[in-house]
Amino acid sequence: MDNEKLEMQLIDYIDGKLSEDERQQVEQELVRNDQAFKLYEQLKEVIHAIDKTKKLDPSHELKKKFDDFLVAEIKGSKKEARSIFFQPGFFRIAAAVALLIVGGGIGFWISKQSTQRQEIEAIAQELARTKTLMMGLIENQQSASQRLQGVNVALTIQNADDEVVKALALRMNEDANTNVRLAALDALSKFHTEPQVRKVLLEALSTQKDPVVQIALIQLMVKMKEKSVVNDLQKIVEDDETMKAVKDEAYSGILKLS
Amino acid sequence: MKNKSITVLAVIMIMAGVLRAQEFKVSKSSGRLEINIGRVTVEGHNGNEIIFTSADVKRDKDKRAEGLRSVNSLGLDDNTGLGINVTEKGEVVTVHQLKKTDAPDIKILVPKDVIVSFSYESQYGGEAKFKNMTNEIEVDAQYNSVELENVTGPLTVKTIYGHVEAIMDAAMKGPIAIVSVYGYVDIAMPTTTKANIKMSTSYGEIFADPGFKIDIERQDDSDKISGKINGGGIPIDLACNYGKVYLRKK
Repeated sequence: MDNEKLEMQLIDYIDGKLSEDERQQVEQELVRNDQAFKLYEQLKEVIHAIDKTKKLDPSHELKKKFDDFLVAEIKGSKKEARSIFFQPGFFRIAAAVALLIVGGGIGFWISKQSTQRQEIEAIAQELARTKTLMMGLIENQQSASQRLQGVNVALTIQNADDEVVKALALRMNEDANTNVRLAALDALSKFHTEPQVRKVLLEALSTQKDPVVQIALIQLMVKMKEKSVVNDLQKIVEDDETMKAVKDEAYSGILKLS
Repeated sequence: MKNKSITVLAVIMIMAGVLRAQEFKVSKSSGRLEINIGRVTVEGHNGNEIIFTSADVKRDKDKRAEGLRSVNSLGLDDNTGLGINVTEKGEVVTVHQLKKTDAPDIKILVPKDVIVSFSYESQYGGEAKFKNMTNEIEVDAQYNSVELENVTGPLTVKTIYGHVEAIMDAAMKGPIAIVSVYGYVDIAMPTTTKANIKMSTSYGEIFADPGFKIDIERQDDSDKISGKINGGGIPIDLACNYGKVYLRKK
């Protein structure tokens, strides 16, 4: 007789629910088997303890409260149930499809975000490489064409940072070669709407001494409709050292801007 | 009789040597040559020496100046016998003329890896010519006109009052940047050249051979043209203020 079956029978035996045959069987088992007897003793104790425990009836008031609460809860849950579970199967399918689409969408978005991040990183790396290339070329004091090549590299940069602007401004203002200066001005003019670049260009107008670059600067100011430079242009016109072509351009600039 | 003819031959050879323009050599196969003389012809050669010769043949001699030397504001001497001073300092060889207004006509042969830089401000000058060169050439002139023939570039050329004429070698190397304020810019190159070209003029016109298929980037600024030839390649920048720009087929 396995333990579980024995246990069941012992409980029934204690409760006096067994048939005559079964009772005899259990009694024989108890005599034969020490373990069964031990189990019988334990169970008897537990069952007696349960029987002894006073039956706890809830007070009438508590019962009523509980019943009311139950009724209210049933009503409430029924209402909610309606709103959560779509009754016709069609809606459930639609919901499932919608969930699938949203899930797929989120997945796609996440993967797109990550590829975008990768792209941005790639662009940043490319920019860093371009900048290193440009800075390397731009410093070559022996060869003007290498410096010019460096400035031309700057033309491929979409967003110039401070370092690039500073390097280009230095080329425009200080380079020994006019072609390099002119190319640097050309590269800077691409970013003329940025305040720091505009400032660099306005400052250059009063300090630049290379006539070819002066002419190009004045033309750029006119294109930018930079009315604030009229006084600077007046000074250029009045300066005896200014070349005639530059004076002519400055005159023309004053006429166009004022 | 035999001895006599040898003597005559020897005399003729010596005389030929004297009559042949004087020569000055500097051993140099890299670095920079800075030319500050008003009139010059520079040619490329395969040696490893820079060779200066004077092409002055018939020039009015100033009899009053005989026995005197030309005094220069830079304190330079004629150390070549050609009316020029050549100084070597590190990687740079610098050439100055001694007279102020009367530029000697100098021809210079340069090895192919020397960067050639011409710079001259005075109005007393002539043409600066560059021929058969694969060297990098820089020209910074005020009044000089510049002629380039059979050169590959890279070129950076500026002149204020002069014009620029360039006939390019097929094996072109960028960048090529030419600007003149009052003069014209005239460049001839093969139509097969791959280039990113920019041409601009403020008060002139721009002409190109129909053989060049220029893929022009449209823009509002009528002074400037920029576009690609044969899909793009070396940067070519041709600019004038008052002159015209000509792009020819070679």
